[in-house]
Amino acid sequence: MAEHENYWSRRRLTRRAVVKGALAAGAGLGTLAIAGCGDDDDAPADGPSGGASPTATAVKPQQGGVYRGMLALDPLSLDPYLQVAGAASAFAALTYSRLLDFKPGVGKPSSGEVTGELAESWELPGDGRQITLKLRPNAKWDPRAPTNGRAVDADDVKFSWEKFAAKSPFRTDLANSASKSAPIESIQVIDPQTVVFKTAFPSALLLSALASDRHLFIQPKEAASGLDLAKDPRGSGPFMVEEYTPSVRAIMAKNPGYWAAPERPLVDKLELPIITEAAQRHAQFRAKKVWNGAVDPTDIPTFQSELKGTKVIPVTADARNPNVGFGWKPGSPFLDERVRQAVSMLVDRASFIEVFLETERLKKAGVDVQPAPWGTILSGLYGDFWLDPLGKDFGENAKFYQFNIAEAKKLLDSAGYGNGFETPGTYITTAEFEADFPRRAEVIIEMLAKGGIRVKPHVVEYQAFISGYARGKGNYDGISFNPHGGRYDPGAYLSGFIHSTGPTSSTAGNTMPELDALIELANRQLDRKERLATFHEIQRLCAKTQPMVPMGAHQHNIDLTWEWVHGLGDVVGWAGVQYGRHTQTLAHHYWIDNARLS
Amino acid sequence: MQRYLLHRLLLALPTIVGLTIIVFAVLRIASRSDPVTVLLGSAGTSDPQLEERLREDLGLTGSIPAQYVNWVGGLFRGDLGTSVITRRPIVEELPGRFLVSFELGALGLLIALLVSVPIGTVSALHQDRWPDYLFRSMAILSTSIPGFWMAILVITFGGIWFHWAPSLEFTSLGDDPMRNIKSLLLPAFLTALAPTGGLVRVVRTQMLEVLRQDYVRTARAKGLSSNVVTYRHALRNALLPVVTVIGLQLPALVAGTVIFERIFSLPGSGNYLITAVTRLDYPVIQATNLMFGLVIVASTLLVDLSYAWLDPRIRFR
Repeated sequence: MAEHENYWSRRRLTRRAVVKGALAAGAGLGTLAIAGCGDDDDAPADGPSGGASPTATAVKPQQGGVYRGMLALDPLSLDPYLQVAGAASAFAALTYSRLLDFKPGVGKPSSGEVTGELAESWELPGDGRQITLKLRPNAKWDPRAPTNGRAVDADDVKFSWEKFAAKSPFRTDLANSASKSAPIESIQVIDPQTVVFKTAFPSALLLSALASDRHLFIQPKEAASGLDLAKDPRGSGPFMVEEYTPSVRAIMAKNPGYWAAPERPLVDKLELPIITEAAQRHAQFRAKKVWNGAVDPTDIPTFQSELKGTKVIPVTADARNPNVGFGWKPGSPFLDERVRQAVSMLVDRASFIEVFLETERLKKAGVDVQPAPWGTILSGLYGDFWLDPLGKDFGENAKFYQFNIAEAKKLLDSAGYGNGFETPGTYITTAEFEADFPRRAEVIIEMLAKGGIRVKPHVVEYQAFISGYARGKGNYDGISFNPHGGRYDPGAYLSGFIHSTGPTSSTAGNTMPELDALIELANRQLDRKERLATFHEIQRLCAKTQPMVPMGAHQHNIDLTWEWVHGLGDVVGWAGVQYGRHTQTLAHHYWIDNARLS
Repeated sequence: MQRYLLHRLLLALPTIVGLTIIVFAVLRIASRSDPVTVLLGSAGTSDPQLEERLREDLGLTGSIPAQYVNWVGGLFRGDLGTSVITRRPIVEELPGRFLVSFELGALGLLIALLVSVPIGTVSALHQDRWPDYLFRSMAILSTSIPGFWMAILVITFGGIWFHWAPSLEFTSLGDDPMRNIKSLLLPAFLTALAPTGGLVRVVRTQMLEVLRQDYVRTARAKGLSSNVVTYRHALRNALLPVVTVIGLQLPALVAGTVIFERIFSLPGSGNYLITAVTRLDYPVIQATNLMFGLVIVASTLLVDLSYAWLDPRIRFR
């Protein structure tokens, strides 16, 4: 402790001495010093050094305090039904409640089961053709006009559903009027506390779709008569928007009408500056103006060793599954299954994971990280749905995920490509898919070259990639490198990215009927056990057919936070929640140790 | 003067028409992607019905010339279009954001002037001696160092060495002038770096030229003090060409604030533009570029007029 105090005093003295020098040096540096006289001394100056273990919560959770987080992206619009940006959904998940939510895992990953949010209970009869939901009587709207803290009722749900079905970019996931493959046909208000959704067919995705942060946020019916939710939101979620300045910040206050209030949320306020630049995020974290989410996992050991009073916590990762996709134009070498198998076998997944996730380095630095599960056709973060290709249950097709250059060359030879071949490989070099995504693509290109597949890099702009490759239905030359973000349900992921009719299908143009049939089956099965078995079968089949080749693993499941922050790492949300994964944590578990803070 | 003014205004009109054509056409030539497809494609959904409706709502249907005519028609009605991303009228957001960029650019220019005029003068007065070498080297350095790189250095090392980070609590000028200035000072200082170097060199050169003029020699011969000769006679005349440079620097500074707005989380038009570019938000990109273009046209016009006002030979030519 004494050593720590000395360290802090030394820092303070040094800083002041330099500031004094800077003031004397001239107007320019004086400006810098004045701007720097912020509240960086407000945070505690003592405390234990950072540890590698998850958040310790031996102390009783405390009410009150202000959470200083950040948003890495601007929500842009406060009405989630008007746009697709993930940041908007993440923000909306704090403001609006959904009918259902995913049950988080305590001390282990979430299994993806749902729990009630605005709905106190729900009933899904045997034939799966309708779902009846009972609303919580104690759920209330924002106390400000025009909602004035009134109770949430079934008419609000009906209004929200109709708006979603008419306007949401995600409506084809749920509204049968927008897509025949979507389940919900109509909504019926039974009484102020009860609604019934009628479905066109039984759907195994229905509950998770209602829990998803892409879909049905419940909004007040007052929005039909002049309340502009894009500017002035009124929700029934855990927090109310107190201030939102585009590109600058959002300030949220605890909603006294939230169904779990006053016990939850524990924190009174969220201060969320919008910080898009990594250097700025790092500086704000060092200055204790931002308390978490600012440091990339691979930088955590460095920051932890430099900053006393920080700790590493586990956080929910996105079930992302970056992969190599194939062009299916006539004459493409990738129409031959053996060539795709060879591509998979040329990917050294263990090295790839080590290079990009730096698991060993993090462990050596004392950071407790879980081994990154290998992606199959599904991300390894989909819990029981995922089948470990390194495990005994996968079967013989697991060999196609093993790094084996000799076998890959044999496969290429048998396909008539004994001397290898040249092919274009398309990817983007901007950061839309994450900053190091281009590097990942380039490493895979090097790996393929070892087997004779000479990939000629073909860089396109993000927009061209989305329209020509992600949505290109295989109508392009060579291979492409795709990020494939997680979906609320593994069935939704496979429907969107793998089924031949999916909007961003990897198999359109080279339809695999057996695979399509299995995906359709999995999405109809209401029995979880049967469904799990079908997903495992799909993964075995895809290991052989390789409709797209997973690039390894993609997860960052740790974060660095200051020691007075508690609860962030206590629960792990469902990896299929793409954007609003911190809502549960912030609403129900997050608290600040004010004694340490003061 | 009135005839000259009218002449210049008439010349500005075809420039503005050309500007609207370039701003509109360049996007469609440079990017063949359809913004609505990109918007829904990035969501991983396919909804032809919604796509069609969005295209109609956003004025992206019809032939390109028809879209251009509609867009220009909207400009005359004060309608800059609707953002593809936020689905809000651009006219609600852009003016406020432009003011922030303008304020940042103007503050940067003010800082550049406050630093460059004394330094340029001192440099000229000590020609080919160590203060001159020092200030000229500093001027070259400040012109050569990219401002955004310096911003990253300041933030990074401020964080590492002093556990300091700039305030990100931007407040508008109308709400709290002091907090507003405080949040803009550091980015304005960094914005000022590049123009400061250029202005130092211009001031120095002009001062050297003026100091060699006969009237300065006469003033000295009359027994006026060195300060009076330097500041009242020489500097005032040396600053005339600087006015032109300032007029041309301001639009560049306003447009150049883009990266600083991003780094310092400022709600300016540059930040708005970057977000729009990454999302292919055509209407916002068009409106923002048009605004930047108009600022350049207006400042060029003002410079021309100020020339005429300062130098009667131009307006009577």
